Amino acid sequence: MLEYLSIVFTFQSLITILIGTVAGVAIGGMPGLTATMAVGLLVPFTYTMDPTAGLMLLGGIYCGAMYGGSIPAILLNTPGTPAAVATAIEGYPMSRQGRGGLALKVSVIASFCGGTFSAFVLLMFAPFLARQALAFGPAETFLLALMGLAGIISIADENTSLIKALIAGVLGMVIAIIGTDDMSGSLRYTMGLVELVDGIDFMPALIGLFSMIQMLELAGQRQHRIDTSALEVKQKSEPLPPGIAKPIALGSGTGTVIGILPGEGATIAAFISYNISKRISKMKELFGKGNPEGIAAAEAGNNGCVGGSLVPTITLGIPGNSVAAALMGAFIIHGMIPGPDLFTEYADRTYPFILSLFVANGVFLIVGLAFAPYLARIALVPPALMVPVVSAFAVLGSYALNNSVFDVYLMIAFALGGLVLKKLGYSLEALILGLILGPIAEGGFTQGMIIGHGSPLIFIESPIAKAMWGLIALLLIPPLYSYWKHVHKPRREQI
Amino acid sequence: MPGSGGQKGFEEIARARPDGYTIGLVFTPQLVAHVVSGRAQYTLDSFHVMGNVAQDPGIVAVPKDSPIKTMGDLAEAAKAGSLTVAVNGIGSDDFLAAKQFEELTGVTFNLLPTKGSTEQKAAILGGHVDAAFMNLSQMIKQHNAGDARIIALLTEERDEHLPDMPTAREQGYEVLMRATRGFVAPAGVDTDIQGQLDTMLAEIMASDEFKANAKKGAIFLLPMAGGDYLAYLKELQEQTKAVYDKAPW
Amino acid sequence: MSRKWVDRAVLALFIGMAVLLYASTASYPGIAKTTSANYVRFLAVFIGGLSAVQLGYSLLKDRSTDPLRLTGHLPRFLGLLAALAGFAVLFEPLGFFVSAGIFIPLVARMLGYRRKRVIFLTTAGVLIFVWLVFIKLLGVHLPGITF
Repeated sequence: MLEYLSIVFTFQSLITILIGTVAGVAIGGMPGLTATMAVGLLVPFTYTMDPTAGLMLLGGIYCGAMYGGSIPAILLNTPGTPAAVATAIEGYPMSRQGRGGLALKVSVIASFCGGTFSAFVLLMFAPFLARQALAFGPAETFLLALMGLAGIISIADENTSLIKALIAGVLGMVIAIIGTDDMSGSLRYTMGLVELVDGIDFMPALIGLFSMIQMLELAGQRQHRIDTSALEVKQKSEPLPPGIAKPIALGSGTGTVIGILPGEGATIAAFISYNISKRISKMKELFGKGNPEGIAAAEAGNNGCVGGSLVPTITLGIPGNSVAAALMGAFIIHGMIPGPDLFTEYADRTYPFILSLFVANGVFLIVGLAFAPYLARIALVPPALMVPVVSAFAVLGSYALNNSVFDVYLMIAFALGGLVLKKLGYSLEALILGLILGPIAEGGFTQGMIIGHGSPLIFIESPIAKAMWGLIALLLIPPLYSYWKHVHKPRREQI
Repeated sequence: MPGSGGQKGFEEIARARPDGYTIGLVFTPQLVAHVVSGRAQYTLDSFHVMGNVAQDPGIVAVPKDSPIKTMGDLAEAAKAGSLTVAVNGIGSDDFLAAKQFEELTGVTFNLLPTKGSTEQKAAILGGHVDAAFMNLSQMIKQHNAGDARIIALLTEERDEHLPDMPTAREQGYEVLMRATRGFVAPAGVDTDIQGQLDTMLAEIMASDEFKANAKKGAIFLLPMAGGDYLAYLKELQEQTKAVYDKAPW
Repeated sequence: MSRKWVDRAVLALFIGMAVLLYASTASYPGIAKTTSANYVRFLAVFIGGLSAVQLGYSLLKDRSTDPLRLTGHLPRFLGLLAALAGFAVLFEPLGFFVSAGIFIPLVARMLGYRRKRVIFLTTAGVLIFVWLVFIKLLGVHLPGITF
């Protein structure tokens, strides 16, 4: 192990990791630039590099981008990645209260803990865990998506009406069925548009529903000053709240486990750990109004997926999500075909790569803590400058994903439609959750039905499935019960 | 590989400006399968075919502890009861190979279309399906590591990468399938430029550096000149149409 | 227009969509009949049912009359939308750099920002940043003028 460490701690490797991680934070922070895109585009670039250095660069980008998504989520309510939507629910209110610096600190510490824990698991237990994860079939994937969707209930029960949150979630799932039907290969609801053959990408939706709506609302404010006095006074130093250790531990564990399982885990992991930490928190009533515990859980959760998603990727060649898939491409072009070879023949590349993930987490921890007070001042930029700049990035980000102007129009349409729904009390967080988890739920459901020869029993037969139903019940019943009790009280209508 | 089986990309190449700077990578049999099933807005005439680069033999894989060891076992097991068989999407090479096998033996599989070879791999390694029609490059490492078992190659000859593996033809089942990956330009490119493009591709293919890199990346080369590849595509389209007309999807 | 009526119209729209969605599953081909169709039908029933409940609740209980206010400052709101649409239209013919070079100062002025130097520096900063990250680092192909 020492010789591998000595490969990581050379000047050249450290600089590579530093560049990758800082670039990753910037990429994750910008609406429209995703880790998948950055890693995918840079894979050919690493072709001419030393294989180990190339992998370290991409690993740094992956780690940095997962954390970076939380920065604009907290400061501007414009999550840079879908996995940071849960972070925005707590982070933006904190920013409004002038506690943005604290929110950023909590987020970076939680991200560090989640990322480091999952990298540790990857280092120690990868081959063993990958084998366990194989027991997880399509039926269980369906249940995992349901667990993520249970998060809708937890978004709902305070601010928006439960029914409307559910409608928004299902609406997201309905939008997600546009495109090719994987079962028959036929096209559904594409209205003859070639652009819709692959379905609606969630990035234009995310940018439209969060970044663009936020900018439209800022532009439409009657007076153009947000109250910045609180920001200047309270900015100094606020000690870390004592209650965040538990959600961080919870999020790290949840994130790592969900990262190992198939499907786009980071969003699910963030919402599930947010949801659970809300259930067990002593300060439930503060959730949705700026509770650092929520940020801690969500960020530890999504960063936990980084190491987790690499477990099946490098041991079995089954990438846990799209970033891991792009990263696997980098392994393959250097002749490192995922499998046992990576830990024997190519051990002198694989282990340094895994160890570099620890360094990458350390880099963003230091950078994040050092810059948090300055980043928090982004909220002080006059809206008249902020709006055009963020809008330009929103347009560019929507376009760059598929090089298609169609996606830009789609983004604007999502912003307008989303704004109307938001004003009517629908939860846009629920909508995006449905849009992202819909295809995972559908794939799991339809494939499960085929494997089960048409019998729905497959969804309850296996021991894993039974345990997951138990968890789903635990996530659903308490909030539904408390909602039921609230129903008789007069509800505050949100305008 | 996205759910639409590359259709979006093929359409884009077909509609691109024929300036000689836009070329595209195509893969079979999806390229012709979209035409046959009537989903595509392009035809083979929409392209100038530059040539083929690589191929990937079709294979049949089963979970490592499966009692199925040969194609004969597979046919028998499928007759005895409905087998769940994973293929990579409808109209893909895997799907067509599975249909050929069904046609040949008169069995019916419980076909499971997946969103890509990753899901197929997970289903085989986890034992969630009974068999999968896939490509060699996707499974060779897992086969060598003992995590899954390949039971047949779906090519005319054995493959140098797995010389002990018998073909389906040797086992008495005439199922042939391979994926190819070639380059095309939009139709209507100037003839001079066409010639330059074709020569460029042929030169790259012949270079030792390219061959060495392909070997490192486990890409199986199959050079075919533009004319040959076009003929291959046309023939493949006919074959695919025959399958489609019997059992449309 | 009152918020209540917009709400009801949107709910009615969802119900209509649900009915169409349900009806459309009848024409699903092949294996999709027993798999995807079930999933889509479930979604249709779920969204239609919930919308109907919410609509009923609104018709029975909602006596509010407050208007739906999408924005506090209509001219600026519409101005930003128009500028966005313009940006999208000009994106391919003019390329990102030219159209963003027009869009950012224009919107900043429209929103009442007057310090020309700051606007200029911000615009230049954004363009250089995009050029560095997209063109140089990632090698993304953006339409229009290339460097």
